[in-house]
Amino acid sequence: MKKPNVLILCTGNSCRSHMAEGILRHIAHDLFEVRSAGSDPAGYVHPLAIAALAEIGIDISAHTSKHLGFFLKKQVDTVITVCGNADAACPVFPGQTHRHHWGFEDPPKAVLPGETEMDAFRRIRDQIAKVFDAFAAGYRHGKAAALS
Amino acid sequence: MKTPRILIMCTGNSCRSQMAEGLLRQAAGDLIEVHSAGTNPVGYVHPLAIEVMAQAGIDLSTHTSKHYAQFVSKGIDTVITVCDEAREAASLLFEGSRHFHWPFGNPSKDVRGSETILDAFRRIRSEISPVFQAYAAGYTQAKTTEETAPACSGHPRPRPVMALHVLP
Repeated sequence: MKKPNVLILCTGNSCRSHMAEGILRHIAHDLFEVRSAGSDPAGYVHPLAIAALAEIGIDISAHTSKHLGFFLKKQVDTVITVCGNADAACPVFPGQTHRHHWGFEDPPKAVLPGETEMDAFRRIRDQIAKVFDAFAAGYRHGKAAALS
Repeated sequence: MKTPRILIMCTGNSCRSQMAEGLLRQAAGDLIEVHSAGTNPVGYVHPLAIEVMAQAGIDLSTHTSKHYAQFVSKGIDTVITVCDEAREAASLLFEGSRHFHWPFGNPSKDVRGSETILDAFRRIRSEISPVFQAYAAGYTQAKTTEETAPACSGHPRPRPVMALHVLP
């Protein structure tokens, strides 16, 4: 069976959705085709997102920031939105797909007192990693249960 | 098919593992049997864990704080540890099970500068919640996708029984 296509969306397709794309592809490239896009793409991948993922051995330096319109005519099985719950413009993707929303703060806007901006990227990277690791783990478990 | 049985473990079985148990049961309790336990159970569920979960519509008031030994040899197929201290014990005692480790801060100790302890419980709830929702979402999506996929010769599947409309 063809691998399901997973499209991860946020607003700028610059930080969160790229970290999530890199992480999910890294841990579940055997399960999913993973892409990401934004409703208002910033046009670049944030250098600290690239640096934060490089620290955990994942290279997203070749990723590009894309508009979700690029995927409208492609087969998309699963749409995961990762915008913060406070974001006004969380994109909506049309079509009959599995939809999940796990919101994360935008790292450049989420720097806590005493943190550097890089610390905020690392903190949100770790939150994203746990959620997407759990999604892949649950998927593997459900697949095994269905086939048993 | 047997319902999968998941055990969520931390140290005290008072805050994090109890919140995670409530969340995973709410998200996938129809498909998965969910339990929680601790390596050193404190004997009660933290009242603020009960309070912040009640605010999210999940009732933990009947939960109890339990030792993990009572789940050994009880058919636990997946163990999820939510604090570092429980990880080793889990791997030693549940050898044949799947293991996942998603650690979270202890909300009764890890209170940030301007936070109240209740804020810390809310923050940890907001971190735990998407992780267990994601597990449930992945499980449910894979199970429904695989069960409705056409069978291939390697994996024969029982066909659904169709009602036949007999014409008069």
